[in-house]
Amino acid sequence: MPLCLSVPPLRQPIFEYLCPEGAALSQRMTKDQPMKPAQPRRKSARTQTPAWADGLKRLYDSVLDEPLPDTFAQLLEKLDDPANG
Amino acid sequence: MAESDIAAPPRPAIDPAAFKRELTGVIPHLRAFARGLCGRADLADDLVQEALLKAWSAQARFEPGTSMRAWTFVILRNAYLTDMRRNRFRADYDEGVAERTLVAPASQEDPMHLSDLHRALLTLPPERREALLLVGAGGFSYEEAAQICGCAVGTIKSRVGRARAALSQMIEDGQIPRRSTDDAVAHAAIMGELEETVQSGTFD
Repeated sequence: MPLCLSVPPLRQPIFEYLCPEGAALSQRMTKDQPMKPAQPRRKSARTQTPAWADGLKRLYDSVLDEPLPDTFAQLLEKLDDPANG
Repeated sequence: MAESDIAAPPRPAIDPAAFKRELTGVIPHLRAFARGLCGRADLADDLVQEALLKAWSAQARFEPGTSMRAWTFVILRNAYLTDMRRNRFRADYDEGVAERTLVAPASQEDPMHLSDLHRALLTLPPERREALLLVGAGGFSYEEAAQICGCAVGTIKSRVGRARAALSQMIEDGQIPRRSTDDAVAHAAIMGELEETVQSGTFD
């Protein structure tokens, strides 16, 4: 299953998007994360992500949206050449 | 041990045309992942081409029905690491592409350039950067990302967590590296970390 990159609108916290199981997992993660033991990780996950998390997706997606350079078509053609088998 | 255990049954080979179709379909994703890894569009595309050729010659090892994207990402990643070590190419940043796409998230006071984010991303240690790319941009699950990177799920979670924390911190503090000067900083950070991981053998 290629290209399964259906992206929900990222107004929801990215954490929920990444972990559809939602809050349960999020809480487990809180316990499992040794990084910031004292800080309520749930809160930071919800408040700090939106601006750049969305940007990260856009960075990635902006490349997906670019037309493929011709060099790729040329390479794909070459693949059928038995010499490349 | 029976004879049959030694001679593994041949895997049902994927039809080359189908393989090529699937391979073609993931090229944009390979380009996006590579761009995130190495920063520069031209180097990224070279890397993708290399990965495509390797994938093509290894097509007998691809299991039909599994994720072509994940499979090729592993190949791309290995090619990247090999090139990093061999050529030590800089994780240079392609200003042009990201600069054209301005991010001004709605309902956000200080709009942020994608190029800022990309630069910030490039300062992260490579294994955190790739973990964040896979999970936060590529949409892979932690489990899939762990398979791609050949490490434990917990390790991926930790890397993503640290990458997110570092980016958040950088953005909060307004300490996003500037264009050219901090390329050196980013580069030093990346190469330093790579050296460590290579030496400790954890990044293979």
